[in-house]
Amino acid sequence: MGDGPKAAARALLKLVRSEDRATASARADEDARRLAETDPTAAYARIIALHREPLLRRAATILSDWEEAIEIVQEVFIKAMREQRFFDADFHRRAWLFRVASNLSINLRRDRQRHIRLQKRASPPLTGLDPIESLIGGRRHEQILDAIEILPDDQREVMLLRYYGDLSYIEISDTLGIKLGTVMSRLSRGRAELVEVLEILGVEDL
Amino acid sequence: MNCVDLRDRVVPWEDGELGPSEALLVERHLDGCASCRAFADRLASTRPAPPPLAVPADVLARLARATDVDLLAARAREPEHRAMPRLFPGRRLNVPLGALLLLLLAAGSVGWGLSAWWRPDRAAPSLAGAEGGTIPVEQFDEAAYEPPATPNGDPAEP
Repeated sequence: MGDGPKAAARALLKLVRSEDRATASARADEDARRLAETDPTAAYARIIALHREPLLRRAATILSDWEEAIEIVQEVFIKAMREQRFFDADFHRRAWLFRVASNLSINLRRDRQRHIRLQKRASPPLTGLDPIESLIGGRRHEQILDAIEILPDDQREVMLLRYYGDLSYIEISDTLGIKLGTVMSRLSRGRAELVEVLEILGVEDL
Repeated sequence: MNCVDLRDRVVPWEDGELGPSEALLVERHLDGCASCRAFADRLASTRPAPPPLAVPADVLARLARATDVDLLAARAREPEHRAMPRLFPGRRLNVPLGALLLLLLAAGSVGWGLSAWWRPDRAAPSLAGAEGGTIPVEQFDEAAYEPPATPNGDPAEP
């Protein structure tokens, strides 16, 4: 810590900002990061405990299936373990995890739909899987996901991160390495295209 | 704020990501502009809103077992499954080596088959005239043509 009033002011500002951001999860994330220096396995265990349920919800929201969602969560953490930068100080762990989870989920959903269409089966999940019965407003939500699936890649990714990953625009901007204005314009276009696609698909209550 | 500017800002406004002064401008415009209000309504009705999910206890238990750190670390240490080596890696032309070999093999088989079938001495299929010669299609007079008098209508052997 430097000396003088400016340094003190900076330190105070940093403290204030960090307190603003410091939800329990941000503090826990910071603890995990420091732990990684001495005990990476324990650090990953902390990260897993911290994020596995939110990630499960997000994957399950996209896939409507608990078993598939569990597999996605496993894959996400395995990738995290293979990611060399994961415990770097400036690495946005939560945002990255959600990004990987949403990409894997939407890809699996798309491949599964394609497989089902090829098999000429009706749309429910394949047998042996574990469907989510209690998805409220499920059909409408499925239609929106169908539409999101066919958006251009750049729009789809920001849509998933914002509405299925609960990331702020700034977090999306950091995680994807794009400007804030670009996040806004991609979301604006994505939402507008969603309206059009849903109209074409003939969705009611529009 | 005009309608064009509004359309760029209404999604961030709805997402709560606009600063207070810009948000106020958006709201004022919406108050006074029916068509932009209709646009904002359509956006709101198609807002992706994942329904709330209650995770059953047994799913949580399975999740905990499936995400045991040692289990996942062991899988992370496994060599990543290598897909068929790609001949031209990249988005545009991503041809698996195996697929290319298969294609070459198929092309080779077809080529071999063709060479076995084609014989220089074999006459090309044609409309045979009475003497066994060939008649170009455009000169063929259907009205004058008399089919060969074989019981089953097969062309006479040359």
